[in-house]
Amino acid sequence: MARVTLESVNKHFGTSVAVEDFTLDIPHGSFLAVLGPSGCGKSTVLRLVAGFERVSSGQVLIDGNVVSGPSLHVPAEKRHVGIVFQSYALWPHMTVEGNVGYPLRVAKVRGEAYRSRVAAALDMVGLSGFDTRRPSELSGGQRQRVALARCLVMEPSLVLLDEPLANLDVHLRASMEDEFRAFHAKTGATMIYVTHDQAEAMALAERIAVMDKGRLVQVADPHTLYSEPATTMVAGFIGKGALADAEVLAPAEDGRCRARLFGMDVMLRCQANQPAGKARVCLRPEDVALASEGVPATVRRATYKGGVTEIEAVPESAPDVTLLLIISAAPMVGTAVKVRIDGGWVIPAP
Amino acid sequence: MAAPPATLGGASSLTASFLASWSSEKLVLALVVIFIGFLSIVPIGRLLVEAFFIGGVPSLNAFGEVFAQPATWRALRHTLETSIGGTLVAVVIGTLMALLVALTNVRGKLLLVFCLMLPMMIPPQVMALSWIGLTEPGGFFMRSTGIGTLFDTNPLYSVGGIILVLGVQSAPVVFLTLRAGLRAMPADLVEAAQASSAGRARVIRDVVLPLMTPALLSGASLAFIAAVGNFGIPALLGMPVRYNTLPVLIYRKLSGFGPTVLGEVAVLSVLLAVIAVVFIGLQAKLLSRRDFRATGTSATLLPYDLGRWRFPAECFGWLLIVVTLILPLSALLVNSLTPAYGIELTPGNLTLNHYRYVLFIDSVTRSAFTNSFFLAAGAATVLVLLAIVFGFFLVWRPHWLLRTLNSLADLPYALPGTVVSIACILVFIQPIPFTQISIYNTIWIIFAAYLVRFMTRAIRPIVNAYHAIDRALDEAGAMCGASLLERMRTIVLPLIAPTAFAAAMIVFLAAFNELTISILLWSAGTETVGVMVFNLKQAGDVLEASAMSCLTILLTVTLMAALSAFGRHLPSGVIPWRA
Ligand SMILES: Nc1ncnc2c1ncn2[C@@H]1O[C@H](COP(=O)(O)OP(=O)(O)OP(=O)(O)O)[C@@H](O)[C@H]1O
Ligand SMILES: [Mg+2]
Repeated sequence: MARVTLESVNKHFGTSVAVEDFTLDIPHGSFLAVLGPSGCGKSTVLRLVAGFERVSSGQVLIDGNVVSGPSLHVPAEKRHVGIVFQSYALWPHMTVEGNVGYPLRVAKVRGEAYRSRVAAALDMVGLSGFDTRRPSELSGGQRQRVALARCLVMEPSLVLLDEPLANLDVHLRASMEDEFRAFHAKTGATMIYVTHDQAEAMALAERIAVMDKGRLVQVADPHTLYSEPATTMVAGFIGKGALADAEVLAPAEDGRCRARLFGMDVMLRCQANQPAGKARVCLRPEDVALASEGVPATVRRATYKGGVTEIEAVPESAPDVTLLLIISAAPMVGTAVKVRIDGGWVIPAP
Repeated sequence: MAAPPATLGGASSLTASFLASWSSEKLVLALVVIFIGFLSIVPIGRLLVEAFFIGGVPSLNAFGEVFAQPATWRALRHTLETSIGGTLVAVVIGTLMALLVALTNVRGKLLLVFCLMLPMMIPPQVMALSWIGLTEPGGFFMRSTGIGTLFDTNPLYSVGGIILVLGVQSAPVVFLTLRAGLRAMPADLVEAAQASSAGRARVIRDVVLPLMTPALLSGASLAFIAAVGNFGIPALLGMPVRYNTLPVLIYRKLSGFGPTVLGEVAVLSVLLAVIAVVFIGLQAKLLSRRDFRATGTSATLLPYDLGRWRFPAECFGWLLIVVTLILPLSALLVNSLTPAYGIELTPGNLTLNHYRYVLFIDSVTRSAFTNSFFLAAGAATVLVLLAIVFGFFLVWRPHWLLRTLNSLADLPYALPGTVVSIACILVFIQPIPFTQISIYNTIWIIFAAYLVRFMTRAIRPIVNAYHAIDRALDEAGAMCGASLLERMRTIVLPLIAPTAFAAAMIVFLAAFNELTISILLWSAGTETVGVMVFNLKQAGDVLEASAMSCLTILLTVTLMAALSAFGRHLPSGVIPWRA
């Protein structure tokens, strides 16, 4: 098991800043997903932890020992960190057995110990009997399993995964997700999993770190991230919903506050210290419903989603907002409806 | 679960291991940087100092003295007129053949291209010797066809002769550049012209050739640069009629007066370098423009069906090959088999004596073969190993210093070989610093000059190969705990091996066939094959020279064929004649 700590880490390439003031503590044995739009610096964070890049400032600690700092850099080969690459990174000139056994050969493990450990790793990923194949003779999913087995055989206490499913088709992803889950359960290793796919992150991780433009925006469990986004960026990036302007009428009480939204008085969820004043509100589909009384709106679009229908409704008082509702019987496009606001989250002021 | 390794145990062991590993990586890098930096900067820098400084003070007096001599101006004019003439011949041959091969449906293109490329790999002195054999009024071909009676002396010993042979030698460069351009040409432009019912000749004239102008100019400047730096052809063909180009003038001065004229020849080499640099700049500019425009290329052009003109076109192509390549080489072969000069070769008197002589009997020619072999094999080995390490850092640990070195390494190959030689003499005529050892007048100065000269031919393909390899393959090795050296051995080397092998062969071929550099650096006992062919010819032993030349051609063609067969496993661009 390993605990990873990043303290005010900055990384720039020339003049462009890839990671900025990144502070995060990842406890022993946890499964953290790093989520964010393309180019936000996810891979760079991972490569800093792996030791492939040096920090520009700040430091990275593994189990309390500084491994990257302003004047110190433990190279990747000394970190004993398992990595699963998006491109699999299998060596084409070695067999499956050669690939999986490589960490053992480097560590001078020989003979029976070598054979049994390679066999056990291949068995765990369901590839027993594939020893003599070449990577080129395997499917994408099998290749990623080999890469996983290579990681497994190292028995690392920390495993980094950089979009390991990005090159696989949808059907394979689900089974590989199970594979990763089993890997985590079995080894108890700390896992950091980079992805830009929120469904993947939600399905796998206990905690999700959301990044934007090189900065860490929010770290939380999937449920909190969805229901209490820290910024409008998180609100827009995670899950569906609408953002609207509101006026908080009174400071928060018991995590709720009274606010004026679309010209109506409503109760919204908020942070304990939410002051009165202007604020942005995140409205998830669960927060709104069609009713006989409520915000007048027009149905702009209806999409059948199998069993339910997703409709977009535009409030008359705020034509730039598109509310998303999920209902069982859809009204016609263009009909005037009333939307009841049942909840909503006041996004904290930055 | 096994215990985590000791490296994660405590801060102190981490620090210690970091120092050990990082410093070994840095040490390797530092050595390579210093070595490549030395090879690419020091000789050329030393040459510039020699030409532009007198007694440590910047001065152009040396230029004044050299330009006061009429011989300098004559050589300059000769260099320019033969190079321009040779370039024109090369452009005509190269363009015709490129159009034929790239745009039409002639048959046997593979063999045609191989033959077209051959002059590029045949050393210039051998090319010149073959042509001399063909056009010698008393020689086999001139006599048997009766043309010989028209001439008193060999017509090739003239400006026209130099231009012709230079043109033949440089035609492949034009051909290659143009064919690459034609391949990258957007097909829809031609199809649009065809759709407006333009005839074939019109399409070529109005669309293809205008579009190909940058490629053509770029190929022409490459041919020009090569011609400016050529020594073997103007030396063998011009010296008998006292017609000197700059490289020949430098050779005559140095071989006549020795190191006392070093200052003077340094100025002459700088002059030679300036001509080359101007055209390299021009060529780079044209090339960048073509690259820019070729982006977003559509499908390759369908070859024109020549219909009933196909056979005449094929005849024309092969006739060109026969005249420019097969006939001269046959003349060389005939000479090498003729028992004695002036005797007509018949099936009865054919002899292998000259081969036996140069290979086994004469100790000087024999040692020239071993010298060239070890020089070429040594340079190939050292440079490829260097390039493997350098490429690793350049591509996977980018740094401005490495990128600068990478560009600088091109310079000694782009400049004429004569310039490199003079630069090396200037550096090595003194003892190596802190030692009493001087490598001047030993075989090691030739070796050093080869390292300088051919460095980029090893670096270029290997760096390209690194770019084609996923960096994660090395990172995965690091993740497994393998040190840099271990990764080099078990991961990087196997992946880079095919390209490294090809690069080594190409450096070997270039060095083995080389004359321009060794002719200025050789001393008794350190003759190379090139020097030997040249000296034998100058001493009138044409038949022995021909036998030696045939042997080098045999080796060249064998290695080229082997590489071509192996070429399937190589990334494109590694083998020069396959472009
Ligand atoms: N070696 C490098 N040199 C220069 N810039 C780099 C380098 N590596 C990354 N960057 C830049 O740093 C920023 C972050 O890159 P990074 O690869 O970490 O993004 P990412 O979040 O992983 O994106 P993606 O989802 O597309 O993989 C980008 O702007 C990228 O261009
Ligand atoms: Mg990435």
